[in-house]
Amino acid sequence: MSETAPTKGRVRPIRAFHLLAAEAFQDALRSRLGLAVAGCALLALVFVDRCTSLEGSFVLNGEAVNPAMTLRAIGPILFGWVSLFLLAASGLVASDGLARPVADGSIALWLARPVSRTVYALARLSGTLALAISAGGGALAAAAFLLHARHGFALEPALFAGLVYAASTAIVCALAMALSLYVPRVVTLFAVMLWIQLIVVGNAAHMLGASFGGWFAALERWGPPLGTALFYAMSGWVSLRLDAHEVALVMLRLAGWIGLSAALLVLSVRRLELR
Amino acid sequence: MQTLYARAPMIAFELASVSKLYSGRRALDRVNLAVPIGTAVGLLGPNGAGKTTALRLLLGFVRPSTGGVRVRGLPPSNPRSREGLGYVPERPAFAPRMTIRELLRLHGGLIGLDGDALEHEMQARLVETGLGDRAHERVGGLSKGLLQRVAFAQALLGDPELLLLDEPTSGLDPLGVRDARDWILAARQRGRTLLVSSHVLTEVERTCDHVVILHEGRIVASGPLAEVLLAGESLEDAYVRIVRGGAGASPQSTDVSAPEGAA
Repeated sequence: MSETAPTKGRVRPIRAFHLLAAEAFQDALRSRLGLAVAGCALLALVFVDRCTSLEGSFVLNGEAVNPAMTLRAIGPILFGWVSLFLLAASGLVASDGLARPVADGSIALWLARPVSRTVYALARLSGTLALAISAGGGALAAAAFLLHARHGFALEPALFAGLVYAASTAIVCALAMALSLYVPRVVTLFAVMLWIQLIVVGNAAHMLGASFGGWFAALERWGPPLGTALFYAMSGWVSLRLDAHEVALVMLRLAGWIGLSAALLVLSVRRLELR
Repeated sequence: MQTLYARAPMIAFELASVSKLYSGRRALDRVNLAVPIGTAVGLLGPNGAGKTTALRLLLGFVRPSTGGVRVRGLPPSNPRSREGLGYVPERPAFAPRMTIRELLRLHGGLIGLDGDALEHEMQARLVETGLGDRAHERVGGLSKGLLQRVAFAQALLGDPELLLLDEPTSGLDPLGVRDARDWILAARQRGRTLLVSSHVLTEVERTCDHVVILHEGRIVASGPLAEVLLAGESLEDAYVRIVRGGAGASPQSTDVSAPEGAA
């Protein structure tokens, strides 16, 4: 031990946050689930590449159909589906992002430092998000470029859809991480996938004019508008006139859910007892 | 409140009438303890006596069911209570994909070290704990004994004022045990406050000047070693005598060795 103690300064929360978020990102990147998310992004990109590179024509019900024309119609659906697939994949890495350090006990030595649980929770979320958004965002950017280069899709709706994807990923990751503190990781993963599907189906049904009640209606009405926001973001591709007020409300609800889900995560970590 | 010194000027940490229940099971029962700065305390007791729970309360890992906990005068929920605190857990667990150097760099950053001071301190701890040649190895591939050395290296970073050690020699070979003893004694000589939870009574006898004995969640004896031990008695004999005689002791009877006038 050195005779003179090294100079130590008070650790500012922002510095602790940076250090722990970088560690969380590297941890996620090095984990198998991180590789799985990168694999999902690559798979999605290959899928988009195949779908956008159709050539020639085929006959359907006796009529010749040009695949390129068909793709103009299904392009937004393709992009939306890929976004939701990557969103579910982000739930995969998030289900592990906090549950693993808790399960293996490595969280204890971080929290034995002058680090608040709020900072720790937000740093883990940020590190996990950085991986999920960079993998998914990269795949979506490439998909947008393919749609633009091969079929003339405008890039602006893709940019809006990318922002909605990032916001939705923040919500899904925060809720998945909070849930993973209470239930096994595999249950978290399936719950997240089911939840995303329910919300998107509810959103789609609502936009198509279907009416329903009970908890499903409440989930659609008050839950995070993952499907609706994504559809509105891509509306520039389908020349749809939207009510600006309605769009603003949906985007506000999405933003509100980012705050709410992060708050739920922080609350869960603050209440956590490390036995 | 039971203090280990009659007139303690500054308290490093205290448990004030602390009880802790886990799913209805009482792990600690109205424990009162105040440890002055610079004291080396051995925390003894049978399995399930509440030793690890006491450490976890001080670190803020768990909340007391009743009573209050203060570390450096602050509740453990305040991160500043852990400034200048080093902790060696019973079973050290680290992010397995980090190298030892990455781990120490991050821990150093979290206690406010950076730049040359961090590099110097990191290197000093690596050498001190015998990990200098292994700094680039991933933590996940290390043996239990080496993990314990890593745990010491991170705990000793920055020469903390308070060291909480939970079974610090667990998993160490005889050379490692001797090294650990030297690190603990060096910290004690520098005037650091130590709380050493251990089953290895000979190590506690060598490294601590005070003991607290827990049994069934209650303090059944505490005070300077010389006062807890009867004439010619070893710590092991005293431990057996106290624990066997202390079962079911009331909290009021725990002040078996407090010096006259203890606060």
